[in-house]
Amino acid sequence: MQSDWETGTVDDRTRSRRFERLALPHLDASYELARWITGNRHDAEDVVQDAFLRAFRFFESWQGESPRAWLLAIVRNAAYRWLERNRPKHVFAVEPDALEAASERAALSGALPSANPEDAAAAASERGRLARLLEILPPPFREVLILRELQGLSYREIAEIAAVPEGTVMSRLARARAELRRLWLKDQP
Amino acid sequence: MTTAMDCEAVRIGLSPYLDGELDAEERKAFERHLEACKDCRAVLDEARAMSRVLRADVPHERAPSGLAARIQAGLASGDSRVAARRWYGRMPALAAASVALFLLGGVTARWVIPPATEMGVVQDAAARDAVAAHVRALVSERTIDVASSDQHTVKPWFDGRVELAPPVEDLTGEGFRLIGGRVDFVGGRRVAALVYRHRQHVLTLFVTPAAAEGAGQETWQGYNLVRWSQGGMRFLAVSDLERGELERFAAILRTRIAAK
Repeated sequence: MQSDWETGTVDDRTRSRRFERLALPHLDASYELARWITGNRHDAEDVVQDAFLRAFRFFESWQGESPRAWLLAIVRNAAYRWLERNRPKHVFAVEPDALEAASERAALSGALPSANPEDAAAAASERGRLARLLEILPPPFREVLILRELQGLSYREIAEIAAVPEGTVMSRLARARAELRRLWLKDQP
Repeated sequence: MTTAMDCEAVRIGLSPYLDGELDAEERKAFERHLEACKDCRAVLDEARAMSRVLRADVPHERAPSGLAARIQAGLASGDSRVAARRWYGRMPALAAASVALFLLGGVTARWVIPPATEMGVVQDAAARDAVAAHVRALVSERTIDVASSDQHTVKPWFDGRVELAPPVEDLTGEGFRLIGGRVDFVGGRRVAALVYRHRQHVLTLFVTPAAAEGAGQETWQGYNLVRWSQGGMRFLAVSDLERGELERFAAILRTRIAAK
């Protein structure tokens, strides 16, 4: 007699092993993205854990495209959901003008989202200056810079992750760089 | 076609140029303008410098050590476990068989996949270089120097460019189309790199004249690696392809080379 239980359990094991093989190589990248969106390590951990379990539930929705982009899109959504729930003030409209105004406000108020001692130490040193400025940028600017500069993803992958057209990735990245440059020049000691 | 670019167009194209996202035609027009325009060169240099500082200055974040284990535990505590327990209670004999299957599965998995804590850690420089070369080629869009799916064009192209003549096999019939080759640097030496395409994925096969070492699979920065030694050569395949597919590629190629 064919037992549904048997096929069910063995398939589940195979399924979770396949998922691990596909997803765990992107754990660091996922964590890095979540860390930069949420602004702190503790929450990034929760966000990533939540996102991976969610990704596993929706594993069938993966169509064989770049697993990294598929996974990072889910992590990104989880991170923004977290922001909405916990830091509604930090969720910005995505219109470019609103973004620049927001980073301007943050820069003026000297608001650094993180109170982590490690980050404070980093902020004190010259080496961490750009990282600190990155922290001030609105998340949509910050995330394209992280995905492109730190993780080296293509525009196509970033477009997939952020669910916007490639042209938007291009213009957002250009604005993000211009904005970071502006803050950098203003922040010269 | 030689469209002249003005300064404004160049400034707009700055980001995609830096990111290797312009096509060959656009890149040429861009560079032609740069040669002639000092101001735009200065803007580019500055943008490049900032990009460099950003990459050097902002530390990479690594997932904390316990996170992978916690996720794995989360995956395992789904409904499947409850189902298994219920089922064991009812059919002890089959349960035993299934446990054996699980154990066997576990052993196989451990042999094939490095433990999660070691994932992303590649110990030797050759593998790291190979992934870096693969990624660099993809980012710069200069994946190939000799573009051909014809092995008889690609093979002689390597003569005198690298130390050994790599076996060049087109595997289009098996789903891996040879699209060309280039010379790259791995482990501090010039090596042959063959480029294949499988669906939308690019696969780079590096062939070096190194001594025999073990075969294995690894993962590095999200890229899968498979390597083996055969006929006095060392093969290293890198891709963002799923591991199973990459292993299939390696198996087919090994058989092909062995049959020669």
